[in-house]
Amino acid sequence: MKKVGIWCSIALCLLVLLTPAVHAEGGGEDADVSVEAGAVREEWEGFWSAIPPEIADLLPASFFSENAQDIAGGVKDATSLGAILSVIGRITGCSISENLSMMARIFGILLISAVFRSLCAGYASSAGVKNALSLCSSATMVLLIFGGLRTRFSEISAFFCVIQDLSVALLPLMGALYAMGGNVGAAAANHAVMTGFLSILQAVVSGTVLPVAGICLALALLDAVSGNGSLRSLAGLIKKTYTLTLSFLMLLLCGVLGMQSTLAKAGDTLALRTARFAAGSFLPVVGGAVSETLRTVAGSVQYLRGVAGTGAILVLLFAFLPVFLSVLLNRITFMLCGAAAKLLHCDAEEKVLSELSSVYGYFLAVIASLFVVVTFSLTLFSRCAAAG
Amino acid sequence: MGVVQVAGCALLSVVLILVLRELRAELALPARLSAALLLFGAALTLYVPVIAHMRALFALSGGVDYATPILRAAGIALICEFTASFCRDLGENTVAAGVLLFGKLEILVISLPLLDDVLEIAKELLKF
Repeated sequence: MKKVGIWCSIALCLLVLLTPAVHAEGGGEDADVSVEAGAVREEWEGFWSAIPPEIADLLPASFFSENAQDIAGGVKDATSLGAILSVIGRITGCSISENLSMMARIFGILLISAVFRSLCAGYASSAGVKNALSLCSSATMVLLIFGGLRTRFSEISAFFCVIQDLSVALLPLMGALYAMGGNVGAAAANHAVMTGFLSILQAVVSGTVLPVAGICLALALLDAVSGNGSLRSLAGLIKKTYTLTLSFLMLLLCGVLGMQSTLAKAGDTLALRTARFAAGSFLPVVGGAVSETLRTVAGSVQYLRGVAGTGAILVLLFAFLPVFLSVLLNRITFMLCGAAAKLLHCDAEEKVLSELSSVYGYFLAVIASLFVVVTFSLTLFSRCAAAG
Repeated sequence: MGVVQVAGCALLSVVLILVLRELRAELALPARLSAALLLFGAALTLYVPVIAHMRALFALSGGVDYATPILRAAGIALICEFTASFCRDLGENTVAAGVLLFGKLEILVISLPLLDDVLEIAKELLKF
């Protein structure tokens, strides 16, 4: 109880210390961004329409405002520690109740299996009858476990679709804001790399992630029923190879995106500085005004880019958190059930449950790496200063 | 029938069989068969509530359709093992092996729809 009190006071202190800092950070922004915001209105609306309703429910109403400063205020509110913790609490609460019911169901199945095995162990002395009974009971238990799991993959598949839709909707907005800030080269480079990334994402999602998981689960299923044991190692090999390839691909994409953006941004800055210098030198009065205007526009675009980038990261975070937490809790549930199966000497069920937990671990890795890559590209975008 | 009654019946049957074996050997075999059937029947009366409880557990787990095949398989195994052990006691090993083979195949036949369902799930998983 004493420890809980200490932790609560630490959390309260952190909240008190962090909340004003977040507000103070954005408080000084008074740039007139209405002209620039109006220029990208269509792209903003495209991005809003790509946000699924369940994620839109988690965002503040001001995030969908017409005014750029209101959007920035909404993003600031939603990124406060309290707001994010409340969203996590809401998501985790729902997931925990779902997982507890699933755990109770699997524990019931394990109990049936244990009772059945002990019932049969007493009288089935001949090896043939024992094996036939074992096959029958393994098939039944595996069917019972998998009966309630088939719908669980749909939410993972939906997450990949949401990420893709959001990225597609973000591309025009990012391109327009890059170009408005004078980063024409960076806009082109970012667009090219992101388009490449999206096509790879499409291939990864529809072609590999779920099929690989399906193959591994099918192998685990057949392995548990047959009691062979060799199919499980094959599934492990497939998973390891796939995860390694995917990590390499993601690393490559991050590297290319980072290098392209940095180089293109440097090139754009040089080009814009040259233009500004030429304008200032050859047209003494008007040229200076043009140069100043360009600097103001760059500041406003920088602000908008920060708002768009942080807002997009927030939307992605709210798309990522429910799926990630749900998959994580599912994995913990399978691990707990696997441990219970081991305690009850239900070998076939233990194999299936440990394979399920391993497949969910693989899902966690894929989801996290996708989120990291998309967040990295958005961070590059929002942190990339306007040219000049 | 409680455990004391069952134990008493078993001991009385053994004594009776031993006496009959000395006095009238031809009656020993029917006595043995009757005693075994009586004990088997007593065991079955205990098996019934276990089956009912397992059916309830299956229903709670959402797999009531799977209760019948698995419990039938358990019943077949029980009957076949009992019959085979009785045949073995009488020195009829070939008959015992036949009964066990029949039981094994019967359980496999019962398991076939379950295996079909497993393959169906595997097929669904491979369709992702």
